Amino acid sequence: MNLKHVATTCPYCGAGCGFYLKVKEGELAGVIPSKNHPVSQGRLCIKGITSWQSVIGADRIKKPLVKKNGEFKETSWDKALDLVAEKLTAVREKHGPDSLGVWGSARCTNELNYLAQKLARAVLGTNNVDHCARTCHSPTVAGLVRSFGSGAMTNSIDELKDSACIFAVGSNAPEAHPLIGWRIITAKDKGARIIVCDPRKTDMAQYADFHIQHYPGTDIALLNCLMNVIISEGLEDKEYVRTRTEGFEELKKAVAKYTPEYTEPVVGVSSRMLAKAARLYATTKPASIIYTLGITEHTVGTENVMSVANLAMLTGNVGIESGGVNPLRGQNNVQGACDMAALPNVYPGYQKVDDPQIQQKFEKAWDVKLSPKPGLTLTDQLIQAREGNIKGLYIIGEDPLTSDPNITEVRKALESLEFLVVHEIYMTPTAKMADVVLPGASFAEKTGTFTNSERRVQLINKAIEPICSSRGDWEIVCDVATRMGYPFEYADTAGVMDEIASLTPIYGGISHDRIRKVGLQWPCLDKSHPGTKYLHKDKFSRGLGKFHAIEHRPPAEVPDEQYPFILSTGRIRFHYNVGTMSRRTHLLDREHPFMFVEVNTADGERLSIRDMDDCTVSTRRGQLTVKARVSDRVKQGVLWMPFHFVEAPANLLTNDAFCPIARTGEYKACAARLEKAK
Amino acid sequence: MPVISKIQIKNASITKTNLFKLLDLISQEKFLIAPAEGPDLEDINFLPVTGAEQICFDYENTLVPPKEYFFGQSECMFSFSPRSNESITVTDQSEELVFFGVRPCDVKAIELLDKFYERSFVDDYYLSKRACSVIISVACSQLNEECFCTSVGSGPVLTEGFDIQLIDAGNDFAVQVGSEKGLQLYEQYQDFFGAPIDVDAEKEFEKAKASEPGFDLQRVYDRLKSNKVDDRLWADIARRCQSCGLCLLLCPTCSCYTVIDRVTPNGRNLRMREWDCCYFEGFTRMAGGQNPVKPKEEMIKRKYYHKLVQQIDEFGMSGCTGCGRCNTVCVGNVNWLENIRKIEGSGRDV
Ligand code: SF4
Ligand code: SF4
Ligand code: SF4
Repeated sequence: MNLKHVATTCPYCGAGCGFYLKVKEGELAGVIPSKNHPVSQGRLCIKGITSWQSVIGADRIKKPLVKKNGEFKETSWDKALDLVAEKLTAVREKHGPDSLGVWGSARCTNELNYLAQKLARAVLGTNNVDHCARTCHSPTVAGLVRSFGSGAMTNSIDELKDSACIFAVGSNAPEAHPLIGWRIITAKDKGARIIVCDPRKTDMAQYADFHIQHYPGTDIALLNCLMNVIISEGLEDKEYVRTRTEGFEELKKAVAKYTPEYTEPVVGVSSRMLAKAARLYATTKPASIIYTLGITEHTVGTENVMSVANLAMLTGNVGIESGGVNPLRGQNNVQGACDMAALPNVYPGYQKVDDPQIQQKFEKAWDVKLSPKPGLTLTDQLIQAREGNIKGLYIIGEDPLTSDPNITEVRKALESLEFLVVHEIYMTPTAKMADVVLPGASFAEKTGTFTNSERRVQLINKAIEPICSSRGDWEIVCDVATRMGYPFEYADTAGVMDEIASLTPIYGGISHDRIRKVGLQWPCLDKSHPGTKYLHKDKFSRGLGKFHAIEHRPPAEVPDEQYPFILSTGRIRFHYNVGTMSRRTHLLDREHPFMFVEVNTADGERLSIRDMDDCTVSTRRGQLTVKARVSDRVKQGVLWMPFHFVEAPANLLTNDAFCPIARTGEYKACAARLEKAK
Repeated sequence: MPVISKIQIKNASITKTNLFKLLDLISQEKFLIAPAEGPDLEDINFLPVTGAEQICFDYENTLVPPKEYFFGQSECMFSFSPRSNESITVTDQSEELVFFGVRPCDVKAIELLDKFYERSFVDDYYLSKRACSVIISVACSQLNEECFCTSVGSGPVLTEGFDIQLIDAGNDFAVQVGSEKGLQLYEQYQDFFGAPIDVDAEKEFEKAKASEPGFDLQRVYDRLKSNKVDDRLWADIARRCQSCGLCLLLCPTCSCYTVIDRVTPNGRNLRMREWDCCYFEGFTRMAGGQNPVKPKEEMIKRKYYHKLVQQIDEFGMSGCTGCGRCNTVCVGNVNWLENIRKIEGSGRDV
């Protein structure tokens, strides 16, 4: 009997559950949950238990593909890699290093992301490196750095179950992060009070003591109002505000006008409910705030995040156990991809590219001259591609043609490139547009690390041989770099992690051997450092926590006569992002096989749209015909769609208006029209 | 060969040192599956071992039940070529396996699966694997936190239905041989065993029962059957359930599967069967989208009714063996035992 269990980390959400892959006769045969794992503790969600099926689809890309006259031809690794190196070199020579861009990936390992940004910076010579956190939690990094000095989940996942109050805004944890949802249910069972702010009656909302069903895009007004009540009733933590923070007077002035009466019509929630929720949050400690993309995916994303930080500091809830500000990261390694600096403005560990001392440190380590000029975000790389200034893109494990807002414009950007290379495991719409497609190995076929939402660096272990002729994406990047004249020589990913640790203070004590049994939470400064359970104890990373005075601004697009609805988007339990993996998983696709739009019952009646009728949703950017799900889950005047279905991509409709600071798109609110399909 | 042919129980004993030596020998001569520590995370699960030192003797029970060796999470029934029906290759199911360390509740569960899979449609994929396996089970000397085997009559010591049962008696184990297959194994390795020693299984059982917060199965059966359960209980469970499926997929008596054809990346065509369960909406949804067991409350109720009424009627044994796994794995904190006690009327009210 040839059977083994291989310990690994879930490839889906940022909760970062651990489990074993069951490998029988060299092939994947299931998932075995782990009781000892600190996040999963014997449990998994349906995506985790079925995750092994996601990578064995018949249509895995089997060989490197090169496009000739519009058609892909299979080729050898040598030929494909030579071509990639040659083309990248040619573009660089013709248009300069800043005409190139590299996209790391929140789905791939830390090691890959480290090498991808090193490829961009040390080999191509540009800081144009970014990844899909741009479409989700970049406002978190930008906002929390401004408020606290460090842009990550402040507390640990397991602490949530001991919170006395959980304040969830724009987060549907039971569906999007089930193992975090479990902690919330546990807290509730132990008597915690739950406040949920969400325009939808989500699964999360059914656990709420207060469900504040505000309009999409009115979070700042809402949060300012809560702070208004807290301050006017003297419920703020005065000692904490005095000793740990700065900027309180400005905050106080800014929120003064957001009385419950003033705010009620803006957010569409009764003033009594607002006042009660504010009192409950302020008087129940420790209180933990959790939020996700309902906060960040707005033109005011970064300001939303800072408002959340304001609220937590005002009540003295940052730097204590079971409190904090907890952005739940959506993807398995979105935290790690940020840590590894698949970002245009920093080196690994958030060390600024325009700091001469830091630049020198990396120039010395990498033995090459580096650019001091911060690069372009992926949002701006796409805009500059349309403008003709970005000529070549190297995209790893991402599908912007499904996941970025207003994909019609994304398509134009990709079409205007001279050269596009994509690493993928399946043919995505983006990969179809590439000149060269390189078959990457999935999480089951390689060794490396993912960093989960609570900053825990964890191992994935190679369980099976790469499928067909796929290769670990870290090896592919090494080969490209080497062919371009800068040898990347690493025996394995453990060696890459050693280099990361030597250059990244917050990862200083991390090595594959040390995290074999249980992952370590950064900051982990040296080999004897035990890791950090929660941040900002006694002192913020930036010294004092900073209050920001923030005004409410409506979304870039608001309903009007022509487009009278507010359209928002999000996730459902059974699928994951663009569906590349979950749609190929039989049980998941069976649970939910089709795209839909949620419509309020009253709106449905008015427009004669019944449950499961076909209807057309249109915005200024496009239209989709999908099934209507009519219920009271969304508020009147609001529509909601998931974004998992390539055959009806919600991002044909969403607005490519961006947060000016973090450059994240406004996926969560745009103006839309709804009609019964003809 | 029938899956299990019972014999008059034969008593013997084995010292702990000899047990170690015996398992070591078996692990070299045959395929031995025993509780062993997994890599890195160090969870204890049933794994193939190639030496007794790999076996974990100090364990409560495994999270994944041993059923997975007879009825796997995912198994290929046969491979085929879509173009010719001559080229069907059935997966070989004749590997002989010896199991050590299966707990009484899981032996009971396998007994129930045996009954299910030979009921009307005789399922060769399952039964042939069962036919070439022999199980050395180890009685529990204490009840674990989540267990309630005494309430459902499946432990902590078995009175019948085992191949070989070991009962801890200090330096030795009392050995009971209960089936033909068990006897064959016993005779093959007779030298390791000694004379019978006294253990009072009945007394062990009574002792354990006293320590369990249990329930009266008959009363639970009656109340479920006569539909006396407050509907709010089902509503509460339905609201908690996050549809992960683990409470059923990992239940040692759950037997549901789905059959799918899979084409592998390198082009092989496989007919697979894979664990499936009734808490997935797609399990009962028909073509056209209608579902006879919607809303969710109805799905939830089915598990209770099936395990605690229907299987008792059909097989004369409880469909729950009290292993407690479904409590351990639930992300919605659905507590099966507590809910049974609510059904019985002894737990706190809904
Ligand atoms: S909760 Fe997230 S990490 Fe855990 S099993 Fe589910 S998808 Fe994977
Ligand atoms: S383990 Fe809990 S959440 Fe999962 S299917 Fe069972 S009852 Fe539902
Ligand atoms: S219902 Fe629960 S306790 Fe009973 S046998 Fe199944 S998993 Fe074990």
